[in-house]
This record gives sequence, structure tokens and C-alpha cells, in this order.
Amino acid sequence: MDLCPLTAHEAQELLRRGEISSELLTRELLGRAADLDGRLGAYLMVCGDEALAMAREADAAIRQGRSGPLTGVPFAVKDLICTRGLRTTCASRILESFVPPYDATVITRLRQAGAVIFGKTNMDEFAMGSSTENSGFQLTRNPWDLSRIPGGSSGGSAAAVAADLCTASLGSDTGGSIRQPASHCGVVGLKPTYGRVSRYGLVAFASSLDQIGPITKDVRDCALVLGAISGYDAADCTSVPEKVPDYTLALRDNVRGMKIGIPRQYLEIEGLHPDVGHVFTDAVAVLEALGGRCVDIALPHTEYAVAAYYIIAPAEASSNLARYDGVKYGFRAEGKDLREMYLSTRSQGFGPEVQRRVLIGTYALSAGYYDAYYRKASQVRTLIMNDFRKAFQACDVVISPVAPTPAFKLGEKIDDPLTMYLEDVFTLSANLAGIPAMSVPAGFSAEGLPIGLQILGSHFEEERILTVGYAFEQATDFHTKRPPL
Amino acid sequence: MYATDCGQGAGVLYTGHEVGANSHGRGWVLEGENLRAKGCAMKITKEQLLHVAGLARLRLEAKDLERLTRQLGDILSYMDTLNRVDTRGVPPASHAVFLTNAFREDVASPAGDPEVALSNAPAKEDGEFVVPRVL
Repeated sequence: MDLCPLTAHEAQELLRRGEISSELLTRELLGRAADLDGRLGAYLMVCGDEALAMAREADAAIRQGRSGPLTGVPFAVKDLICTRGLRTTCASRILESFVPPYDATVITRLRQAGAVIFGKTNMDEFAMGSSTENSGFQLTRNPWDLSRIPGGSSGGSAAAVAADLCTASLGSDTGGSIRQPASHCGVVGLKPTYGRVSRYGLVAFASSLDQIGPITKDVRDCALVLGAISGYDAADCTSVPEKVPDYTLALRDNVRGMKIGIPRQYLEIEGLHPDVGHVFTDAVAVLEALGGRCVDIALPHTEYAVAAYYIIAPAEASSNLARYDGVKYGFRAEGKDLREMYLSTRSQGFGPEVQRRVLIGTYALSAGYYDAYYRKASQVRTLIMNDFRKAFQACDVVISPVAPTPAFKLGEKIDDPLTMYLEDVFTLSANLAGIPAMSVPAGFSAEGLPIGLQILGSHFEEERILTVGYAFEQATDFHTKRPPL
Repeated sequence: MYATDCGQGAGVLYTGHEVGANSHGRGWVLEGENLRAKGCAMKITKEQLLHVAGLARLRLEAKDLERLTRQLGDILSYMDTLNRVDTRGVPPASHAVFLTNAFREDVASPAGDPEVALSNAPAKEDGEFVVPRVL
């Protein structure tokens, strides 16, 4: 039996019964990665020896009856999540040789759950991008069509899951960076409520927007991983002391009694690819057949979300990235004095998109411009939050497309930053509002490219979006499809 | 506030489309080309860009200056869409999820091993980070 396509819950069943070992599963994935990742570029680093050691420990734990749902499950981890002793680069030359001396809290929790850290995945540099083309090291290709982007910024994690080069993965999402690559790669991706999952050890991009979340082969796995990584963390003062439920209890095969909000603004944008429109319309029909009642809702400030986000996120990033100065860690370029060292280090170490965003952010925060840009954008953010607050009075979840088009070709948008930013139009609002949102596979374009359905919920209502996602998934077969590799 | 008038009248930001109060969500296109208000004054000058680069400790190459000024100008022009939103009396969002008093007890805990803190240092000596002269 080929073990690579197994989901975490399927693998767990076989591990528990002693029919397979985690070591065997890990070896098979290592073999598949060796065969295929040269073409795909999903991994920046595969942790062969460490992964096998962890797998053997997991096998021992399972034999002794000390196991849980994720024991022995190999994970791909986006390379901006700190893993102690394992190089963590954020796909940037400025951190090319950085080895964190500590684990992110999510990694500590995965280790405690007995999971296997299999490798670190490629991404847009410092999570800035929607195609993974901004990586400082390599391209990642969409497993469904190697000439196309996998999405971004968690493109490596999404590609690894889609290509069965891991069993499950972690990504991060600041403006759509879990959901959009999940949609483009035909897998499940969930951005939790802000504060649901600890950001300790997540290299910060935009501190009021970032969240770590699962990218998995199906919704059940997503619920399992979410449960393992969620919860209050004293080391992250923005983490919320909200109880973590058993998310798998939310999984059921219908959505009877649920009101499903459809935001008319989202469907009126020009440039929405017709296949994306068709997939969405079909998804609405499926949810109605499953007992959902669709209601029209308005999100009137949708058209301002991109502008608000692309002021707030770069502003926060310009502050967060000020620490990369060549002093304490990372790349250092020589300079005749400290200022020269800073200038050379940052100019050589940061890629062009990172520099662009740091410049925008610095400008938006600088004296004379702060009110016009950052303060204004923050006010618009409040209006966007209010839009969702009002919408969730009329419905239980909101659904929408994830991206306006299926995966575009590598190189197609990289020279036009503004067009690239508009890719995020459906996903950014959830980060601005701090609400949870998930992408589930919902169909394919005429060219066979995956298209996802986005499900959004109110704060800490991950259970509702998991209910809708699971019911939809089980009523369709998109999650069973695999790319022709 | 800064001037947004580009000689084409308020609200005409997208080529061929007039976006006004009645057309929420309509008429916006996803092509960057169409979003550049033609003939608009430069949103950011080279001098302003160099000043901002200095603040951000970034050295910009002369060969990149033209392109970067244009790209940033386009992006900042797009931000002008926010001027169409009436935000009088709207408080700026300071929290994504509202938490108050996320405090801990003021109790000292072990600081950690200095060797660990120095483990990634590009240059170190006697338990300290070494940097070029400041002055």
C-alpha cells in the first residue's frame, strides 16, 4: 500500500493498530520527496535524520499506548516558524544561516503530540507575496501544473500537501497566505481567529494580522491539527484565553439550520474568472442541498480592503523587519561604520518585494503622512470589522471565492506588484477583521486547476466553518483528487 | 491631506470607469495598468523616496530609483481610494481581537544562557556582540 497519500487520521488508524510504523511512513515520504521535490521545489530543507529519530520515538510511544491523534504524523513546516536546531530562513538571504535556539510554541505542541517534523517549506520572503515567487532561494511549482504558481506565501506547504510529500503541514496567513495557496493547490487551509494560535516563534510580518494555521488533505485533519496547536500561550500576549474545543465534534454531514451569507460585492468584481464564478455557484447549490439557507449579505467596504491592508501590513512589517540589522543574527555585510553596515546588510539581504513593502510602510508611518495613510487605513479597518459584525447577525457563516482567478503562470505578475496585490481581494478582509476563514477544494477550472471555496466565521467560531467545510467536502469528491505527478 | 486631483476629477481612478457613491464594489478591475491614473502627478518624488530609504536603512541603487519611484507611486496612488470613505468619528482599529490587561506577574525568571543568545552572532567576543564603530 502506498502510504504517502494517507491523511493524518487514516495514518493514525493504521499506526494505532500496529499495521504500519511512523518510521516506515516517514521513509516512504522521504523517498517520494527525493523523487519529486527536485521538480516541485516545495522544501527548503528536508530533515531526514531528525525526522526518522522523531518517527522512532513516536513508534515507541504508540507501542506503549501513549499516543494521540497526531503521534507519528510527518509535518511540513513553513520556514518562518522557528524550529530549534533546524535552520529557519523565512526564505530570505538575510536569515540564510539562522538556526533558532528555541521552538515556536506550535512546534512545542506538535512535538508534545508526538508529531514528526519532516521539513521546512519554501515561501515568499518574510511571507510577503501571493505566489511564492518572492522566495530568496527557489521557485515552488504548482503540483497540478508545473508552469504555474502554487500560490503564496505558504506555497511550499500547500504544494507539499497536494503532492503527498508530507502528511500534514503548517502555514501562516497574514492576508490570505494559507487560504490562497490551499485553493490553488486543491487542499484545505484554515486561518484561525486572531489570538487562537500562539505567535511565539512565528517570525513576525504584520503583528496584528499574522496567524499560524493548518494546511491539510482534508477537513478532519484540519480539525485535528487546529486542536493540537490552539490555545492560550503566556509567551504571546496577543493569544486569547479562550477554551479549545474538540474541533472534530463539529464535523457532521449536513448544514441543516445554518444560514449561509453570500456577499454580493465579492461577486461583482470585474476580472473574476468565469470558472471561479461557476465553481462558486455550484458550491452554493451543494450547500443548499445539504440544508443550508443562503442569505444575501452586504460587505460594503470590500473595495477598500486591499488599500487598507497594503498600508497596515507594510507599516507593521517595516517595524518588525527593523530588527534585521546584521548585529545579533543572520547575514552581515561589512561596513566602515555601523550605519554603513546596516545599509549594506539590509540592502543585500532583503529581496525587492520586501524592500518595497518596508519603504511603503516607512512612508505611511513617517511624520506628515501618518494621519493620511496609517490612521486612515486603521479607521477603514474598523468599518470592515463592523461590516462583518453586522453580517454575522444575519448569518452563521459567510462564503466566497478564495482568489479571483485560478493559479496563474510563473512570471506572469511578478513585475507588476499592484496587480499581484489585487489577488488577495477576497482573503485580506478576514485578517483585518481578525475572523477565522478556511478554504476547501470546490472544483476545477476548464484547464484542470483547483479552485477553492472560502468559508468565514465570526471570532472563535472555527467550529461553524469546520461544520460547513466538512459537510461540503463529504458531499463532493474534490478532496480525493490528486495531481498527475 | 494631500492633493488627489489629477486633472480628471474626483473619483475617476480606474480607466474608463467612474466610481462614485452609488457603485460600491462595482467597476473595480484587477489589472494594475487600469489603476494608474493617467497623467497624474508623481505620488512620491525621488527625493522623498531617498529620505524614506534612509529612515528604513536601505541603500537604493541609482539604476533602480526610476522604477521604484514609479512602482511606489502607483501603489500609493491606489491608496487614494481610501479618501472616498467617510471616516469621521470612526475610531482607528487598534486591536484585531479586543483584549484588555494582558499582564503577567512582575516576577523575574531566569534570563537564559548567554551562549544561546550569541549562537547566531556574526561576530562576538567575550560574551558580547561585536559591531563596527558607531561614530
